[in-house]
Amino acid sequence: MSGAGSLVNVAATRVGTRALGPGLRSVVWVQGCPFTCRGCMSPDWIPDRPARLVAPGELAAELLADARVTGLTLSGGEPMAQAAALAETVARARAERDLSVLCFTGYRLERLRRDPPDPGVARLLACVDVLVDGQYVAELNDGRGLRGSRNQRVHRLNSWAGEEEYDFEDRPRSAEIALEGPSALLVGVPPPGLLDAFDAAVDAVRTRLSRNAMEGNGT
Amino acid sequence: MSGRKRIQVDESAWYRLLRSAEQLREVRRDLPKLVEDVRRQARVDVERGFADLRRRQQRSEESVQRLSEQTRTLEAETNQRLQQQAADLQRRLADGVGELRAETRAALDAQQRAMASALAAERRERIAQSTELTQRIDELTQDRALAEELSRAWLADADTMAALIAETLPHERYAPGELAAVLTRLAQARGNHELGRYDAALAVSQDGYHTLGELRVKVEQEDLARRSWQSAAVQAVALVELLIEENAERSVLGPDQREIPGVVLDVDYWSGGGLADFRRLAGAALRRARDEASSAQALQRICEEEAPMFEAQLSDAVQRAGLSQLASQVRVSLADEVAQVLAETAFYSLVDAEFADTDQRGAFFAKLRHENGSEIVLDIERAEPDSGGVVLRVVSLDHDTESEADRRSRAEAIQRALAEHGHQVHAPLAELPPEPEPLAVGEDRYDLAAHRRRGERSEGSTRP
Repeated sequence: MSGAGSLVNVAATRVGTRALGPGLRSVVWVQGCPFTCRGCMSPDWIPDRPARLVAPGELAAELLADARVTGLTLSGGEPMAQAAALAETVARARAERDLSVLCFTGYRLERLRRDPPDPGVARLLACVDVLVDGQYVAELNDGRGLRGSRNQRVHRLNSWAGEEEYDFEDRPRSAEIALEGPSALLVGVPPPGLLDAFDAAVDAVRTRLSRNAMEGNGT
Repeated sequence: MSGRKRIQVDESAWYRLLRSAEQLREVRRDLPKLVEDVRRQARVDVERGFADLRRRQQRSEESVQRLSEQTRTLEAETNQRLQQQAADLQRRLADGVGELRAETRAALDAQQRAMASALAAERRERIAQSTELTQRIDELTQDRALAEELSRAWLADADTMAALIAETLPHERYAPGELAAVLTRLAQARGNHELGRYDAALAVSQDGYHTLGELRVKVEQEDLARRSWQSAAVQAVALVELLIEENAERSVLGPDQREIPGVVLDVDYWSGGGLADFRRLAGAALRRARDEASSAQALQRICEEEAPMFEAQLSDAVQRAGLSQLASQVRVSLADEVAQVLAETAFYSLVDAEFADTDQRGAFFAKLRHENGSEIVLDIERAEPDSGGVVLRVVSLDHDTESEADRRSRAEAIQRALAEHGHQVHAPLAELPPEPEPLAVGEDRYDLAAHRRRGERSEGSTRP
């Protein structure tokens, strides 16, 4: 959503998770992605359409709502398509707190440097500590590491305390399902089988609750 | 490749559930019974408070009889007015108990206005009398004998009034230092009288007497006002105490707004000890309300700020308890669904499930084992202590249990896949045995047997 100017087109946020990088982090998933990877776990966030347009300062404040958060994770959608606004968001957040920044992108790092898809890419790369790059390839999903498939690479652009202990490439996966109001948000790169389980469980709970409500309604 | 959002509850169903929890906010008030209980308790308190007042009035009447003729009538009238005010207040407080706080406060305000009006009238009357007497002083001073007699009488009356104030009224609380200042001036008047300067003595002793009379009225009325606030504060907090007990257990409503038979919400348990905190706070507030040392301002604060705040917090605690119980049900429900699907589609089977320390308010864990021996744990807890939201973590524990053969097999599969996608593989792909890795959370968080042992040891927990 590069046309959104200085606003970030946000698909979802999660404040305070341990499923997407070292320590307690806040995540922003942006809306819109130029890639259409087969088997992508977030197909709803691929279309480049307005979702929730948020000013960088406002988004930074939202992500820092939990005082224990020590890092930001940028994902999507494609963060590099909104690099300028996200770089501004990170700058605003870092003005408040010392934070590590982890970013997922479907672009390879070499391409980002050679032919950036957004004028803000260089600025965003300058503030990212760990970049996980490359498109998702379902067949290369080995069920391990904080990356969707084996072809994706982990670039440690800057090191920070605690990051050395974190095995991005080969750690057992973990994920969180956060229930907020009527929606369920799966956070993390899911362990094998979880994505199907998540969908099926959500469908089952939804059906049961709807049935209960209808019965209660006397219909 | 790091998130997916789904709507898990239809809006209509979700809001139906929320409304069920919202309805708990309405603190249950069995009014006739509550009012009768508060009324009975308050009458005891009011009667106790006014017993002191009646003893003081009796003492005041005895003092008036010792006054000279020139002040006796005036003070007898004042006594009568003060007694009437006190009797009115006592009746209003006793009658007004059933009307509870807002109405009681309105009655108190009216009482305050009546008192201020009576005081103003009395002041006007006294000033008029003083002016008349002052005009006669010139005539009086022509007659030394009469002046001496009048001066002695005013000094004696002032002594009687000063003694009444000093011995029966809490004057230092409402008018600190004022009695001492008048006594100093009266001592000067007495000195003048003994030196034969009756004219000077007469003017000061007369003025001193009237100042004492006003001081007496002021202290009496401040004391009455304080008693009003004390009674209102005691009633307000006593009502909160009764509301706490009335709401300790609530029935649970289903999405259809109907009570679920046999299901009781233990508000203290599900609000994390919220009611026990309120009992303690309300008990402390009631002790302060009954404390004779508490000021009128402090009592007013209890009545107007603390008691309504307690009621609002009680309402929050009841709702929090409802949401907490609802969240607990959703936790188990969702974990059950995820576990079932993992079993059906990914060949995991449920081996164990338990709440953290067997406490239903805390996290819920379900451990699943794959047929190859690897395990995952579903870890479900509330997002925030007071929110209805929950977080489900799926933690893979396969590092320690995965066999070398499994890893090699997976490495080969990946190698094939890479080749199929045109990636050049220069060397046989082999995975190194992974290093043991500490969990982000506590080491024994997923040792469910340990949770059970801790739960058994926890004597204090009472689960519904």
